Order: sequence, then structure tokens, then C-alpha cells
Amino acid sequence: MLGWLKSLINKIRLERQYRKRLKELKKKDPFIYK
Amino acid sequence: MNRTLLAGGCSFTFGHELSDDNGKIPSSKSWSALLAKETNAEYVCVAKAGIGNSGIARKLFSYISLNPDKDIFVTAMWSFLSRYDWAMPRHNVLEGTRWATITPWDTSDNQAEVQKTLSNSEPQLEEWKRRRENTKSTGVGPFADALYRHAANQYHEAYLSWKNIIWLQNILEKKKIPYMFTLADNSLFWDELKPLNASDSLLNGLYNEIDFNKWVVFGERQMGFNQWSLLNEYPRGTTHPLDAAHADAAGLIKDKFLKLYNQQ
Repeated sequence: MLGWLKSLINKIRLERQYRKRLKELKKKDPFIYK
Repeated sequence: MNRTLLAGGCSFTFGHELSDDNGKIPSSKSWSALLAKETNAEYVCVAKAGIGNSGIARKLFSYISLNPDKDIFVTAMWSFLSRYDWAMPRHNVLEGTRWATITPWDTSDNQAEVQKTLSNSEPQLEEWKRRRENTKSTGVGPFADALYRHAANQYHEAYLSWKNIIWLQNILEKKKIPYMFTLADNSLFWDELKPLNASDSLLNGLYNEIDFNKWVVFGERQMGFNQWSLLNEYPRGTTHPLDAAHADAAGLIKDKFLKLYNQQ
């Protein structure tokens, strides 16, 4: 019954991890298109 | 025959934001152009903005293979790990209708961040918008989203970069083409204070294949040019160190460069 909730929480967790990883990469390489 | 100094790298070698930069022709005030002047060599620069290490190796190899009779000395300033070089389905806005440089900035949802960073530079903002349009039509944008969301990671990026560096190094050795390598940022070899070659035996094995006798670094823990320029507070443009940093960097690496350049 709580499967959909677990799946939603997992989706949000993965999204937050992705955004954090991307932020770190951009901080390391701040050269937007050059 | 006059020797050619062939320079590969990213925007630091192209010379973006230097006083003579017009975005089209490589600067004559970059660290590599200044080294070419030291030796009166013909200067050929295949550096490209935003390019990663696979692309740097590819462009240098491409020039060398097309000019087998030239007397060449190669310099390369290796760039950031997280940039990918990919032969996409053909499209007329891609380099050679094929090659795309993919960086974390090519993912979606960057607009607010970019507007803020480039707000003082209208031409750069325009260039950004043009690039965004291109990433949509070439498929690079969706590919970047998938790549950085599901696949990109530091281990694979170090593996790819080092493999490309060793590939080029070994080709240069085989063809007896002298060279000097340097780097923009020590994240090529380090994760903060942890050396990446300590990750496992594969990366350590690759690392040991790199001939660091032909490298110039800018300080402890293989500090790169950009880090050195930040540490020494050289004037910067929107994102890049300006003329003074390049002139001093060329002065700093001149002795090692001349030693390698004049080696038979």
C-alpha cells in the first residue's frame, strides 16, 4: 500500500543527489561555455 | 625548416578574455603563444573553449597526423575531468559536423545561475543563448541530462582523461615528437587532498604510465594554471585570468620548456 510513497521518496532522494552532484561539478568547473 | 609549436588545450590556451581575444583567432598573449615567441617557432593553436581532455588529445593527434612532415613541438594544458568529447550524429553546427563538447553546463535548468554569472557580459550571454539553441537541435542537451544524471562519475572521468593523455603521450614518443604537458587544475589527479591514483590498481597503473618528466606544474599537489592564478590574485575577466597571469606563467615554465624544446 505504501509502495507508491516509497517510490516517490526514492525519486526525490535521487533528484536531490543529482542536483547536489551537478552543483559540485559546476563549482569545480565554473567555465560556463568556455 | 622552422619548427611549429602546436598548442592544445581549452580556453586557457586559446586565450579567452585576453586583451586581443576576438573569440575567433587564438590569442597571441596566451601562455603557449608567449612560449612560441621565445623560440621563434611558428605558432599553431588547436585549443577550443570548453573542451575536455579527450577532445584536446583528439585535436592534437588530428593535426599531427595531417602534417607528418612538419617539425613539431607539442604543448598541452589538460583541462577539467568532467568534460566529455563525443562524436554525435552529424549536424552542421557541430565541430567538423560531428564533435560535441559536453560539460555539466549543458544540462537543463541552468538559466538562473548563468544569467547571474554572465549578467555583466552581454556578448557572453548572447553566446550562451546561441549555444543553448544548438544543444537542443543537436541532441547534446538531452544527452547531457542523461549523462550527468545516470552515468558521469569522477572515477570514469579520471580513467578516460588519463587514458587519453597516455594515448597521446605514447603516439608522440613513437613519432619522436617532443612535447611538454601541463594542466589547468589539479582535479585532474586529485580529489581535494586525496590522490585519485589511490582509488584502485587500475587507476594507479594508468597513473604510473604517465611520464611526469615532461610535465610542468604550478605548485604543490600538481597545482594547475588556473588555481595558481587564483592563489596569486591575478586580475580576472568574467571567468578567466587575464594577460598578466599568462605572461608570468610563461616566465615560470620557460626554463623547463626550453630544456624539453631543445632536447634532441
